[in-house]
Amino acid sequence: MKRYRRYRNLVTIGIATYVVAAIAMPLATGRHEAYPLFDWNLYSRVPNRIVEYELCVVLDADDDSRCLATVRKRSRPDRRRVSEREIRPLLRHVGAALESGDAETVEESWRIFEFFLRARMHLGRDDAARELTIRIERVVFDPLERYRSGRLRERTVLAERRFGVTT
Amino acid sequence: MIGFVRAVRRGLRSRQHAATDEPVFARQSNEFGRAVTLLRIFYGAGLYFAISNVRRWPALRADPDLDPLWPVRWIDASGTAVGVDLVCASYIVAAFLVAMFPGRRFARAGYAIAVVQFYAVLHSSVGILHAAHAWIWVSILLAFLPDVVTRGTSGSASQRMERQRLLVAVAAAQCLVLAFYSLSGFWKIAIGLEQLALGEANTFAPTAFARHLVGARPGTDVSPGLVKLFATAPWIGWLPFLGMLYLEVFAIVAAFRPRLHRPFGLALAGFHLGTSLTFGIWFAESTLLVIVLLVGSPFARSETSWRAIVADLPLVGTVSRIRRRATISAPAGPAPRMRTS
Repeated sequence: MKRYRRYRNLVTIGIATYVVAAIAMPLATGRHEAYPLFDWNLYSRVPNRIVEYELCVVLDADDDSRCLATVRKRSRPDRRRVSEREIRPLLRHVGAALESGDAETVEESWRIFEFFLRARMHLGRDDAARELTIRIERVVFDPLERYRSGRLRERTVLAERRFGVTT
Repeated sequence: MIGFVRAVRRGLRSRQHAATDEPVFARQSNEFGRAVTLLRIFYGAGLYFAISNVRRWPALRADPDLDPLWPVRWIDASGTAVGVDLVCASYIVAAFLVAMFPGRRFARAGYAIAVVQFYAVLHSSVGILHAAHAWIWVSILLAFLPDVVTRGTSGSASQRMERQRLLVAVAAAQCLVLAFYSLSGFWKIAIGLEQLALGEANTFAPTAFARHLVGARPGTDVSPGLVKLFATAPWIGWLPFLGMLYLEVFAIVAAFRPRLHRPFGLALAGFHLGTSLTFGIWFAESTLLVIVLLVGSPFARSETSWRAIVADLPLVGTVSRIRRRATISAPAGPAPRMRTS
């Protein structure tokens, strides 16, 4: 009887502690996760104003610009690989670095972007051999408004870099 | 503390429960048999997930950017390839062992450690995902359960206590998983109220679901057809979104009302189906957990009527009880006249 009660009390206290910690952790530390503890704050904030960074390529010939990747400001800036999927966190990283004036990160990111664009042939066989300009832009918008009318609240060019022919 | 928790538990239980349900021990043998089956299914599924996760092994051991989370920080000393090999191999062995001996504590404890380690490695590589968190916590919880003795279904008081301990473990696992959904609902309400105070579109707004869908992060597999539908007519998604909010907020109450186990289990499985169809977010482990723990709940009543389920629903049941009480206590009309002829 004693052992059964001890177990029941243990699990009850354990669950109650988890719930209290999950509510207190973000309020006290601002963190949502301390693996495997998670506060389960998922899709709680309804998007009203979204800030994104866009990586745009401007081809010299006809000033045709293409936005290759888009990232959110709040995503995790922790990946460095050069692949289409991985470029998004890097773009967010460089966007934040540009806004905070972190020159070293920005310089490193430019090199990765150029490598990414040329190596992955995103510009096509002919385009890859041409001069190109990479531009990082910051856009602010209401998601529903942008979907319905395409309207942006704000578009700012954060940085621009021109690359010569490498082949 | 325990007294407070006991009072909360009494408050969460159904008003009908005490009046109509049989005493706990009268159903114990039956529920124990179902709980043992549930335990076997849980660890059988654990083996299935372990086998399906093996395909990640080569990529994990070759990941040069693996940034170990605290449970696997020792990998820094051993080297990524050796550390990942150790974690993955022990995960597979532990999953097989626990599938063979789900009643043995050493097997459950070993599996819990292996699961925490494996998902720590996985999340150290691809970033923290939350699909398996509930699974990890239920594995940890079950590791504290002493050996389950399945011999005999009746007998001494000590055997009854042994059986009751497994039932408490299953009830605790249900509570824990449903508490996660309620935490999610709690944040939606709290942040919704904050946004309401700021005059922003919030959780309660008719456009909430459409905004989540249209504003989903780039890279999320949101269905373009559904985005178009909900962005054009946001009110279509309003009622399902409010229904999901109700389900999440009151999930923990359902843990204490056995009649609601199956309906809530099915509704939560439907919720995961919805997030998969709309956002492309697939919580495989959590979906399986609600099916195993709630739809297959050993405490669920098979003979329950719809009326009893509705009466147990949080808020809905309270409103219907108040209405019934008001009807009963309303002053009676003039008495019918007796025929004299």
